[in-house]
Amino acid sequence: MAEIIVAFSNRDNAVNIRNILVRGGFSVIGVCTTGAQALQYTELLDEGILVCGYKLPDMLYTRLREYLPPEFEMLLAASPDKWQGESIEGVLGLPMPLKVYDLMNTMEMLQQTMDRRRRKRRKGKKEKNPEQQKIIRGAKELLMARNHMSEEEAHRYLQKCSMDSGTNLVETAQMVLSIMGE
Amino acid sequence: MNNYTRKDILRMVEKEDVGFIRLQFTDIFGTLKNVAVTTSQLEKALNNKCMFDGSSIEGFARIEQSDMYLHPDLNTFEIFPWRPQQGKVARLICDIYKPDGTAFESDPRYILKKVIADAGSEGYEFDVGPECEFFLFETDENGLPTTITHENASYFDLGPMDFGENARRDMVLTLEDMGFEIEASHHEASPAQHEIVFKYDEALTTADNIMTFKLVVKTIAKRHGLHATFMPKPKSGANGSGMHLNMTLHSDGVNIFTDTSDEKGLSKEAYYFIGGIMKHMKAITFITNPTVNSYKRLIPGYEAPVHIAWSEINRSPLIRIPAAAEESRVELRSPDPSANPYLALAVCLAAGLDGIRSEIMPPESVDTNIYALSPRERIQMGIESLPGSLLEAAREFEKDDFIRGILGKDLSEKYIEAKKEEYRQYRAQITDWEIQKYLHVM
Repeated sequence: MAEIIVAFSNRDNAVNIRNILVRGGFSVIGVCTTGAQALQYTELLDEGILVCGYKLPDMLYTRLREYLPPEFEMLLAASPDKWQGESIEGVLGLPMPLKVYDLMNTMEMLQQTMDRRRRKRRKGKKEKNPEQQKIIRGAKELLMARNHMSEEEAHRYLQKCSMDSGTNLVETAQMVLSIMGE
Repeated sequence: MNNYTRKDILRMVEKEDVGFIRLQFTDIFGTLKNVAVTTSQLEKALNNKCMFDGSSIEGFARIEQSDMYLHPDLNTFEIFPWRPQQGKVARLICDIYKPDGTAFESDPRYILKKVIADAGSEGYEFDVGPECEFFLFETDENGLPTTITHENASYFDLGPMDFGENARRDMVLTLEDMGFEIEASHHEASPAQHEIVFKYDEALTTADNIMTFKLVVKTIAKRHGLHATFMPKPKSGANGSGMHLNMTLHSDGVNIFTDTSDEKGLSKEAYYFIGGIMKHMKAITFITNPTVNSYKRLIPGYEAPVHIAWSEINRSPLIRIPAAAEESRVELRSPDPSANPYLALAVCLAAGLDGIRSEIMPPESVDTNIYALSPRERIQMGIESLPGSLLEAAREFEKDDFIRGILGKDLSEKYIEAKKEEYRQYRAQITDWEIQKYLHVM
């Protein structure tokens, strides 16, 4: 389960939200009142969720999002008139005054998203069975022979095609082989 | 060392989608200043047409003659790796020029360039490798810096004892992204103290690099929720932060300080260089240790130098000849990071050159523990001390015509006035120590 950090300029708010989350079965690693303190907590984790207010004494949530490593999700709890219309990547909004039900559901959704991401990362590392490796190698060799690419260039080309087309590396390699083979 | 043309700059700005250019320069106190322009103004900047009000920068100009122009040094073009990837921010370090097209005589970068050119006229290239120390402290409830750290790590310690490990790693990677060659980075002796060492380079590049280094360290520290300070002695009872300067002179690519036939591996030029620096050391200290806090660091017991002496064996003298180095170099250990690097390098090079030209032999090296000597023994051995305060250093600077001449009349006067005023303000403070010591007994 992803660890949570809670950061609000008003300590009571932060503690209340922490208590709600803990009662809901979530794990909160830290409660703080400045962006700097929140960032220091993130040093202890590889990934996590930061629940914070719109403005901390040392920075706005936008600056904190900029400093936060990309592996961290941000849940912004603030009144909608402050942040509606501002769409920042990596920030999910939750209007204040908070409804406990909404907080729990949103947190559950974030946790599941991060779980899925983590599982996919682990699976992706294992899922290079010999058959698939052969396909990828074949596509690379074709690119190297026909298009005079180095192995590294061929690998990067396959990666880029895969990302641009939204297909995985093996499928992209198959496509390259089938097209090039014509 | 980059070799960019105007066309290269324009091409890079477009290709990398740079949105802002920061035209940077350093004021006389060593503070980095800048004016940011959008890329629509880039051509104007490259045509040396960007100007600013010099009278707003302390020590630069009076109101009546205040227009100053920024002439970018194209080879200093860098894109900041940490800014948002859309609308990136780049920088150009600039020289300051007067409206009549002549260089501003009190621009620290110009002063260093002049001394470098003087050395160059004799075929010397001055190379410097700095070792910069700094502290990473926490911020308070309002985000303001403190001297608090919950860390208790020491020399060469690593995480989890070293709380700043992630930040330091990020700093090194960022510096490398900007073209630095980082030789080492480690935790230093005091809690929360760190050191990053980058490879020596030609003096002007090194001075530029020191300014960039400080900017990167402070920026990355903030992104890790910490405050970086280059204050020489932020906490009593712990080692302070120095900026040791490892200096060599090259001629036709050869290190002229090395002479393997000498017992210390030093050539006569190296000895004369040391002699020159020692001769002018008290005045040099005014420039290399330019704040009242600098003199809180230069006290016994914390690995900082106090006496004017040199040694190959001792670890904490003023001037050290690192043994087992492939090439001989002269390490000056007194400067601290509050110094203006351009002026610091300028006075060190000038003093060293004076030593070489006048063939000034230094006194014998002192390989005993100077602190263990009695004051009488030190006098007998002719070992003098560095100035004990900013005021003392200012007075020594006033007495040394040669070092004052390097800064020029105008800058020297402004600097002395500003620093004496700083000392006056400091003297007017009533410290906690005095209250603790005297309030209850008097």
